[in-house]
Amino acid sequence: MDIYEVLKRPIVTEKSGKQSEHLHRYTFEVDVRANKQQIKDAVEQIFNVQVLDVNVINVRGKQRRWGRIIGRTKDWKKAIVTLAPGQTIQFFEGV
Amino acid sequence: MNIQKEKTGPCEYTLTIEVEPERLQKPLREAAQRLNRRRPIPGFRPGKAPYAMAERIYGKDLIYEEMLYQVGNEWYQEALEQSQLEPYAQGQMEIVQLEPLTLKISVPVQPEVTLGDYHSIRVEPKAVEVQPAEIDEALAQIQESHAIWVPVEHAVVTGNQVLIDAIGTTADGKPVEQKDLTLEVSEDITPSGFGQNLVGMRPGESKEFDVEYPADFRDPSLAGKRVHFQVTVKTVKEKELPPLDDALAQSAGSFGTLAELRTYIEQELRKRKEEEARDAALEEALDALVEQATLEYPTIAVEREIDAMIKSRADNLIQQGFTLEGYLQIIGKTLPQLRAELRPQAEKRIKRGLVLSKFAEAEGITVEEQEIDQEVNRLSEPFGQRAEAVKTALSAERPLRSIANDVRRRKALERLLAIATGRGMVQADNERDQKSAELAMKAEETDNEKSPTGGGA
Repeated sequence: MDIYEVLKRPIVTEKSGKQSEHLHRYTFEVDVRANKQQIKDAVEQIFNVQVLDVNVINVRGKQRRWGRIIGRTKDWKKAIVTLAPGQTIQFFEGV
Repeated sequence: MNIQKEKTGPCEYTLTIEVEPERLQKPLREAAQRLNRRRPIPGFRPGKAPYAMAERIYGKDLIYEEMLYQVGNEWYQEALEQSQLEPYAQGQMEIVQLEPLTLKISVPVQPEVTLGDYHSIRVEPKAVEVQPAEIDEALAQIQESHAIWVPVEHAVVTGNQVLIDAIGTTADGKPVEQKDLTLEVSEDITPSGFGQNLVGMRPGESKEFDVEYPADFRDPSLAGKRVHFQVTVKTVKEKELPPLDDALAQSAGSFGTLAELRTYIEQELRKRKEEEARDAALEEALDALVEQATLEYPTIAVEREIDAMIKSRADNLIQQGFTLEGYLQIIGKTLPQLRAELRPQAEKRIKRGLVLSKFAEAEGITVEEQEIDQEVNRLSEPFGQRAEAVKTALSAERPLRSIANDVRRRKALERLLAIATGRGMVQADNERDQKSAELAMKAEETDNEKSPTGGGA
């Protein structure tokens, strides 16, 4: 699996912001098929950092309905990547 | 804060302000937070998003704008203080560039008025004279208003009052009917010719004739049409004027005799003419005062005056049950046209107001508290039982201020007239001039015993 297919987007929320600031842990949405090793490789290569640990959470999609039509949102995989102390990832300018 | 001042128009300055970046930090963050509170970013509780995030989502422009909304006024005041300007109205602030933050403020400043040598203004109120003919005319009017209609049997002449039934048919067969119509016969009854046709008819007589309605008649179904009328005169009345005698004088008011009434009328006429002459003289003096003075005032002052004029006109119209829009439609003008039309008038009013208030200042005219009280009493008196309520309403701060202004204005006008007609002040002034000349000649001997009388008294 190509490393650029693994990481889909960074998750930018209050919670993830706190974690990256204080615990150097960064959160991404990743491809559901990716495993921890692939995620580690991808982050290390793309952002040029050293990854200590990867935690993944499989997020189940939610049920949604539009009138009679019942559907689901997609299941997705969330990865929380711990970097070596002192290393950072800039999601966008100025954070 | 780096401020550049530049004069850009009559009584208008443009300030270019550069704000140091350090001063921006805190207000910018606060502005971003306020924005974020109103428009939360997903993933963050309202007001909790970091600044960088907010800037990314909202954009710099919006954040700067929001910041100016909060601190702009403070900076504005600071800028005014530093550049020592007295604003006449709220200035317009606009952002020229963001980094470094540069603002442009255009500020209209207080009008500048320099009076000319107003002591040299001379006007002479016209001499007033009451002609006996004018008194007779007034008496004739009283006679007229006390006239009674007396039924007569002779044929109709112009000036009579008639009671008629009119049955008409238009050329295309439409009936026009008016029964028991009371008319005063004259030549200007519409349609023309109707009046003339009535002349010569006797009570009880009927007549048929054709008349033509004018094209601009208010009833469109009749306008421009030829109508055949059948008219029956029922009664004819003639105006009977009461004789000019003491009885008439008594019924016209509390006068014992006709002679008393005459004197009263003469007095009233004289009073009115004197007032007119006085007003005309005042007008002339005021014009002269404006003419002499050098004036500079911001354009916004004119706009505001026009606003005020339009507002008062609109209020009037509303009281009469119209709207400004309807009125504009009737006179066939648009609002900008009306504004343009009012402009010269507004400028005149502003000039007069400015000059007069400067004049009042120069002459040291002040308004005492008791004068305001008097004025309040005078204004509330006609309201009778509700006088107290009116008085309370007038005693609020706003009306009090406008009353004080009125009184001041009136006093200033009186003083101006006094100077211009060469009464009061001017004599004192001439005296002072003479005396100061004397003083200069023999400075050692003369001292304060004959101190100049003039001043503001």
